[in-house]
Amino acid sequence: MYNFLNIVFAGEVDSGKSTLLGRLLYDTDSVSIQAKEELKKVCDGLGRQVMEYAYLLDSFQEERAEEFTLDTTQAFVRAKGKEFLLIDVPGHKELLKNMLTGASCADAAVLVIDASRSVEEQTKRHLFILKFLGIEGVLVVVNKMDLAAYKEEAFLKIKSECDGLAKTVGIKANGIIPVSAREGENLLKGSPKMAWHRGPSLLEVLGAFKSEESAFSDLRFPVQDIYTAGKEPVVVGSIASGSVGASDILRAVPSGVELKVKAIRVLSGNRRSASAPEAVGLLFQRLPKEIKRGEILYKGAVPPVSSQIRAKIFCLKPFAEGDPGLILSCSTQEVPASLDSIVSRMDTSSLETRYGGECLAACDAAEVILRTGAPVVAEKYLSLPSLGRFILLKDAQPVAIGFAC
Amino acid sequence: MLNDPYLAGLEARSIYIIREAYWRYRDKLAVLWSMGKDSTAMLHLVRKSFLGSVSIPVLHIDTTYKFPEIYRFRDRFVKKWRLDLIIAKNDEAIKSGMSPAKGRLDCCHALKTEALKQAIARHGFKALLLAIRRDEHSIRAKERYFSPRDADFRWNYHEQPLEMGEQSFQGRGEGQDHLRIHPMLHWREIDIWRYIKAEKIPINPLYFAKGGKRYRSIGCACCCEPVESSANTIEKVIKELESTKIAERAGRTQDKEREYMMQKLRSLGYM
Ligand SMILES: Nc1nc2c(ncn2[C@@H]2O[C@H](COP(=O)(O)OP(=O)(O)OP(=O)(O)O)[C@@H](O)[C@H]2O)c(=O)[nH]1
Repeated sequence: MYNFLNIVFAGEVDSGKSTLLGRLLYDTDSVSIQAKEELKKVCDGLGRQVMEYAYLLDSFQEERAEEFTLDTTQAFVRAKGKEFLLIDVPGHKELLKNMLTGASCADAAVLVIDASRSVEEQTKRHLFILKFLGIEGVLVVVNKMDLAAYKEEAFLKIKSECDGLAKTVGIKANGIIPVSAREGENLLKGSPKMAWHRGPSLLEVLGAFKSEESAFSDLRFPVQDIYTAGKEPVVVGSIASGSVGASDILRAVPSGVELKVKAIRVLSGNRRSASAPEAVGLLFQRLPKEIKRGEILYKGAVPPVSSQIRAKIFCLKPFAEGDPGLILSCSTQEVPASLDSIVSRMDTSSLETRYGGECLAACDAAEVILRTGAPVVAEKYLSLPSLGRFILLKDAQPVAIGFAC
Repeated sequence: MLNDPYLAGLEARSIYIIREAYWRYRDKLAVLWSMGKDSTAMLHLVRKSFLGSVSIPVLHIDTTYKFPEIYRFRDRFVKKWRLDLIIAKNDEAIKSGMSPAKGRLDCCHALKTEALKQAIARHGFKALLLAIRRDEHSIRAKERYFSPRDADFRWNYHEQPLEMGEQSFQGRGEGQDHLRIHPMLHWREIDIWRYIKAEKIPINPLYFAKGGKRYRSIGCACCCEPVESSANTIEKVIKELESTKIAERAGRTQDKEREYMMQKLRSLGYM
């Protein structure tokens, strides 16, 4: 959807994610004069000895006073003719919902690790979540090199821990570089203090990141609503993938009905064709009564439809087999669901897998069988994320995110 | 159709959100229109969402201190777009002489937040579309597309709902009075101007330079300062924004008067 990269900065509490992002914003001159002035004023007011670049993102009073990120935020960086959208997320385990909100918008990721510590619980969990969300390009940044006197040994120690972690999680790290966010070393250009590191600077690495185009090209049009134009019903929605022509024959799932397009309606009139991601209105020769919100109109390969879904999920709250009142929400579909069985589950603080069991705990990742009260359409998450991911709700609160596998 | 795929992406996401809002709230949904560039662009997106007719009421929070150009612009396009306009005014506070001289925070609170409260109560709205953007202010950058407010209009930023992209998954929580919906959260100031140009959206003349100054953000005449600029056309405004280092709301006194003024105002229910 965006033609520049969205990059999330993940990692352990206090590893320096916000500081790193703030420093990038500051040094690339991507913030206004007023924001810089305010930063100085706030640092002085709180009696900070050094500039806390994190305050450019951590804007709540409590975030600044207590030096932590409460909620995710986004900021644009413009440098060397490139633009990025950088996403900051909280490191605290209690704030995972906010971390997921931020990370789910990302195409690529930076995993920040404190050079004076080692690979800890949230580092593992965040890396696992990045992999879970299908973010393959993960750059590891070893921060606070100033605390390790810019010594190569400290960097190599973290590097070897990371290699092991990447193997356990099953993700290929996209490079690893040493920096000091607070001192601004190796951010925009190489650092003489770390001459032993021959690779490019952080900004140079980010600049070389590429976003992957989705290869999915068949039409998928989730029906969002039905309006009336004059006396005629108009089926409205956003094209999730592919394109539609003004006299196309479409099919719908789960209902299986066939429809003949009569017109593609937008504000300025009728169109001959429209393609993703456009939001349009469709008029049909005859609109079968089966067509309502949640139906998916398509061309090409029949989308997978089923009332029994094998899925990978990440839990935000505990729930168990047979719990009543679950709702599965995927794109514009919403159906009752239940947890049929747990194939395997992983405790994401230790990354250990267990088999069987009947209950899931918060922060568990699991492969499960779900049963739904009506057939659901779910594409493969990696080929079409908007129609591949879902949320499980209980009492109107999300208990897990997931996707069909 | 938009030739710029980036703008097309921004637009599609906004329309999706507006249609979600209407699906969930129907006649309990209203759109806030201040006649500024962002909310006028949003009104255009609402017209696109509904394929022409604006099917929901349009709410103007009138402090009576707005620029005369703003009122003229409003009345002209209310007719042209056949809008169902509701004017929200805190008559009592105005009668008793509320003005920025009595304290800007109090004035904003009485004439904007309280006026909105009264309008919501009178018309029974359960959801509002607002044209705030992340890049306007670092506090607004913390917002969600779908943001619940309680009866006191408090923004519970300690406990915000899960969202994935443009999809929000939280049902109505306990104590929710209304939902603030922000379909343009992901737009930048420059995107708005490029969109205005691409879609030929009418825009208030206050935004264009006269005598070496223009307004980048407009609200009440008494609390807005113009910035130095020679940009007297849309093209020149876009050019200016490509390199400016001045914050968009630098001319807005309510943002800079006191530290955390925006956070205070917002947690009290300000837009
Ligand atoms: N010495 C040193 N301190 C740093 C560096 N980067 C960050 N810090 C400090 O580490 C502390 C935490 O930094 P933050 O940027 O708030 O950490 P965070 O990862 O965003 O924290 P959460 O979002 O709450 O998880 C602050 O006191 C920073 O000043 C660095 O490169 N060197």
